[in-house]
Parts: sequence; C-alpha cells; structure tokens
Amino acid sequence: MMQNNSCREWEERLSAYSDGELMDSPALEAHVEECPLCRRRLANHQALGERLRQLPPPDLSDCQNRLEMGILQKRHFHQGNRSILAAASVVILLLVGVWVALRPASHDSMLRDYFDDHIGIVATQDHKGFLSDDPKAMEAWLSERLGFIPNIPPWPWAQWKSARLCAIRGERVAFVQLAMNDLDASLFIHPSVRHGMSETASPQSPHIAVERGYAAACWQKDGLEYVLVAPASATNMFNRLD
Amino acid sequence: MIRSDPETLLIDSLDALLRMAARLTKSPEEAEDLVQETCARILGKRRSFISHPNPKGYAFKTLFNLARDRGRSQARMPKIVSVADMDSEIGAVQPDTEASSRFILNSLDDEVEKALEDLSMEFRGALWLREVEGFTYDEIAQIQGVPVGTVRSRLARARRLMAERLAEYGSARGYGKDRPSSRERKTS
Repeated sequence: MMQNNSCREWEERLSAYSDGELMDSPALEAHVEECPLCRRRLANHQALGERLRQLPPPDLSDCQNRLEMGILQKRHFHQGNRSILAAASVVILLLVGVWVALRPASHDSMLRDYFDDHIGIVATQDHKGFLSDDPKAMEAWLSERLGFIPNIPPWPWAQWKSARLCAIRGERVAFVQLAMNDLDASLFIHPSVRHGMSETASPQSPHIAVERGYAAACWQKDGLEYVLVAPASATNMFNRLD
Repeated sequence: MIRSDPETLLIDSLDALLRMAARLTKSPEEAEDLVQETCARILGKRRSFISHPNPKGYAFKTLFNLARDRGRSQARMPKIVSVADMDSEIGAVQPDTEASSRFILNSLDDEVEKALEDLSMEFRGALWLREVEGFTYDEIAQIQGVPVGTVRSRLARARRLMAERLAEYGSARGYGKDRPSSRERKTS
C-alpha cells in the first residue's frame, strides 16, 4: 500500500492531535474518519507512547545516590560558605565601624573643612555675626557662646572684621574674619585637645597646607588650636603669627 | 510563591534527568557524568534556577544544552536521519513501511530502545520529553531552544521513524509487516 501526499500533509497535525495539542480540528477528524492510514497512525502514536513509558528504566540507582550525595554536599558547602561569609561580613563591618569611630582624623581632611568654610564665606561675601574691629570684644562675645575663651592673637597688622560660631565635625568653633593686606582671611579657634591637630606646631613654626589656591597655617598655643586660612599669596604673612 | 531550596528542587528532578540523560548518552557512566555537570551548572546559577517559573524545564534545558555541546564536540552526527534528509522527504510519496499499533505494542524492549537510539538527539529528546516526561510542546520548545513548530515537526517525524524502524526489526525477526486490516482495505 502506498500512502498519498495528502496523508503526509496531515502527519504533523495528526501527531499534535494525538498529544492533545491541536484542539477543535473537525477537518482532521473528518479525514481520519475516511483515511485508514491516518487512523492507523493515530493508533500507532498512542501505542508508541505507551511502549516508551513501559520501557524498563535503566538501573541508575547508584548514580542517583551518588548525585544526591553530591548535591547535598554542595548545599552544606553553600550553607557553610554563606555562614562564613555572613560572619566575615559582620566582623568586617565591626572592624570598619571601630576604625571609623576611633581613627584620628587626618590633618589634611580636617583642614579641608576649614578651607571649605573660608571659601564659602569669601565667595558669598557673607559678613555676619558679631561685627567688630576689636579682637577683645569679639573674644568676649565668642566666650559667652563657646564655653571657652578663644584667645584671639593681638596681631597689629590684622584688620578685624567679625566673629561668629561655626561647626567643624560637629564641634563648635570660633570663626573670626579678618583681612591681611586687604586679603580676606579666616581664623578658626577651638580647644586643641578635642581635635588633636598640630600638636607640635607653634605660632613660630606653624604647619602649613595649601589647597585650591588657599593656604592654611595651623598651630597650638595655650591649649587652643588655631587655623588661619588665607589666599596662598598671603603666606608671607604666616611668619608673623607670633 | 514559597519554593524549596535549589538542591531539593534538583533532587526532585534527578530521577527524570537521569532517565533523559540515559537516552541521550551511550552508557550509564556517561549519563551520570552529564547529569553531574548539569547539576553543577544549575547550582552555579542558583538564583536563576530557583526564580525560574519552571525549574524542572530549566534543568532539562541545561541538560540538553550540555548534551548538545558534548555531541558537537564529539562530532556525533544523527544516526538515521538529519533534518536536511527529512526535509527532502516532505511531499515525497513513500511506501507504507510503518508497523501497526499491535505490532508496536508487542515489540521487544531491545527493539524499542534501539529504534529510539537510532533517532537523532533532537528527535529522541522531543519524543521522550513528550511521551515519558509529559512536557507540553511549549515547554519542549523552551527546553530545546526551538520554535513550537519545530517541536511539532520533530515529534511527527520521530514517531514515523520509530514506527518504520520497529517494522524493520519485526521483519528481521521473521514477522511479516502488518498489513492493513480488512476494515482499512475496505475504506481505502
């Protein structure tokens, strides 16, 4: 018996129909009703599926046991790794936290705050606070508000302008504005014990740093720390801080 | 949706994966090796596996990809038929060489296994996934990475080839090919 072309055309649809993947196909059903070959094929599909499902499973129980063991070991390894990673993360976070809390602030990073404050004031020409050209008056005004006496250096060459309070790293600091040879400068004063900067620097030999076109001179005297920020071109004045 | 951990999901599918692997490879050792690599690959992408809408299908897809890669690396060509060969057959008038359903049901296990093994990996895989594992055409398409139309075509051809091969084996055993029944002759 030879099959005809039309049956070949039905082949895929017949296969899908036997799998229940071809719904509502009256044309196919009509053809199957008429065609003995397609009827046989449909029966063959069902028989073949049944026969495949009846095949004895290959004896793979040992393989399965070994694979299961391997998978479970991976789980323990993964869980172990996760625990170790979690513990390591906690330890690292603690160490970082302790380091951040206890590390001494670097000199330059602390100076950056002074530079920022000075630049901000100069840029905005913000002359507020206690306006005075008398350093003693400014000292008194600041003392009332700070809890310590900021001994403002009696520089005869300075042109005093104003005093205010600022916060550096969460601490209240005396912030005095002045001019040096008509160049705006800022003098910051705070208890040195609290910041721990410039332990060895003195007015005669200040620590000097330069950043963004500005220079800062830092020194300690009588338990106070001083930071003078001025344009870099004014550094020649830093030898007159005594 | 609450899901088990990936290891439990994988162990649940291990039996089916091994059955499939045994049909895609030549020996139990090779099957075990293939499934082991599949498991390692899946557990290396635990999140993808656990969050996949069909983890079992994902596992089979991984298995198939690895089997295909191995097949490529070993340059194992399909034994009986390539897709190109099959395409050339479309529309051709072929002699009726298929066994009957009764014949198929009475075939020997060895014959069914041999006929299955003689199919190309793609055809064998599609047929096994459908008939034994019960995957839908859409799922098989995803597992094999082909369009649904290709799955449909593969299944139809795989079935015909199986029926033809079983008829051949029967003939070799001295059984004549089943002829159409009297009812079939009457209506044809």
